[in-house]
Amino acid sequence: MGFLDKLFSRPAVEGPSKRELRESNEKRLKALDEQIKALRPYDREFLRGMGQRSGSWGVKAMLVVFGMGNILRGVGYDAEERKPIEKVISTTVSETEVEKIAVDTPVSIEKEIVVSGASGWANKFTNPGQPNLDHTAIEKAILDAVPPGVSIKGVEIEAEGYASPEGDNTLLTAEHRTEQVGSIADQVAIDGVSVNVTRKADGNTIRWTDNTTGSIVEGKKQDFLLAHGLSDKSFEDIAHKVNRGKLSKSEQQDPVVKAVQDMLRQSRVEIAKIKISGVEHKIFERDNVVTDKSTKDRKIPGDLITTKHHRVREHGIMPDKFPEIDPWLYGQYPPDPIIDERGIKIGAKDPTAPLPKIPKPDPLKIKRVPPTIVSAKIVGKAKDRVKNTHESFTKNHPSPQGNRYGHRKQAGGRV
Amino acid sequence: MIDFHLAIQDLPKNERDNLERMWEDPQGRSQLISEFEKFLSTAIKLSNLKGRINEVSK
Repeated sequence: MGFLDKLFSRPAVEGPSKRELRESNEKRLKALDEQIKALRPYDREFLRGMGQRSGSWGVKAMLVVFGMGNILRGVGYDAEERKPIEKVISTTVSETEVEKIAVDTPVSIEKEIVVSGASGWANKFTNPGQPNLDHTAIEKAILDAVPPGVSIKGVEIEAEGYASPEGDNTLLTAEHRTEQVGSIADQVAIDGVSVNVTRKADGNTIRWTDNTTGSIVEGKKQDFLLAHGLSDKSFEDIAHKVNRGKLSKSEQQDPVVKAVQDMLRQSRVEIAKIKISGVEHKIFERDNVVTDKSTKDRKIPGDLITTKHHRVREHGIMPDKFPEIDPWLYGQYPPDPIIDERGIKIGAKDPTAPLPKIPKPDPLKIKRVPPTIVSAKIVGKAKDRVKNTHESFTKNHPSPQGNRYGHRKQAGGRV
Repeated sequence: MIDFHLAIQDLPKNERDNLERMWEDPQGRSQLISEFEKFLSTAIKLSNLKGRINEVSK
């Protein structure tokens, strides 16, 4: 057997098979998924921000600002270069400032209100011209529940409705619901409103007050009719009169009419649960604000900065104030000294080494330009006359058409 | 589960194509998962640090 035969007959060093890799990937993905699910809301928000910044903005590194006073530093990890990085934020202010910032916080408000019945909503359409009490009640409840400074983003209304015995329009029909929702949304300037009305009882179940016991009774329409000696026809006549407010004085005193009136009111009383989601605008004061000289961004400890708009200085200094930080993140120092564009070595393997000193320009060598002095000399008789009137103008605007003092010749005399 | 295609939808097309090719290959997918594991670990560490700084600066 020749050499080549021997070489190729040796079993190849095998890595994991594709199937094993797939299984392992699946397991790792599941573990990652679990890890993401277990994130605290704070971490989740942070991660989302990081993802957005690094994805949409094409940012290659994120840094967290830390430090005190007006000297801040950003520390982070450069994902492309796989190196820890640090940015020193030089500041333009000598004193810390207080900055007011507006923060939008999502809020959720829940409120229960008593409305006069889902049928009232439909009444607006069946009986045009009559006030729509339910609509007003709900709209008012929404506006009352929302404190100042909150913008409403959406409203969810859950209402359970008893049927009144008048017909199919007792609960909101889909058509009415849509129109009402649109109307509410328009009037209170909401992005979205959803209404969910459920029928608590079938069309024949109604509520009325028992005259003997004074308690509220739930029962069939026929029971009510029997108890009050009414027929379907006579009941509907009374109900229509009640609904349209067309009862005569004598009818208003009639106990049967009163019972129908009471029953209609009872059957329409509902409790609606209103859930309002919105955004609360709050103004906070941030202490210890400094301004990043390079970007004019205002920063406080805990802020995030990205490297897209910042020049990042890498010098391998381990921030020993935060020993809990994993060494791979900040403890690996650049293998070679880093030289910046001015040829100055700014990399240091020794974490305790001081920051390199950057030579400051010699103030004596700075070329100073003397200020330009503009002057005008006025002599002779004209001196007093010109002095108080046109002096400043002539100094700055000598006219080429005028005389040597910068004055135009005027008709009727010489200057 | 993590929706990889959703995660990369905002990237430029050529970059997206490259990543999708990697995702289809088990070896490439393994690399991408490693990167994401690192990213997540970094994010949690930075988030902890940010929270701690916020507490200190209050």
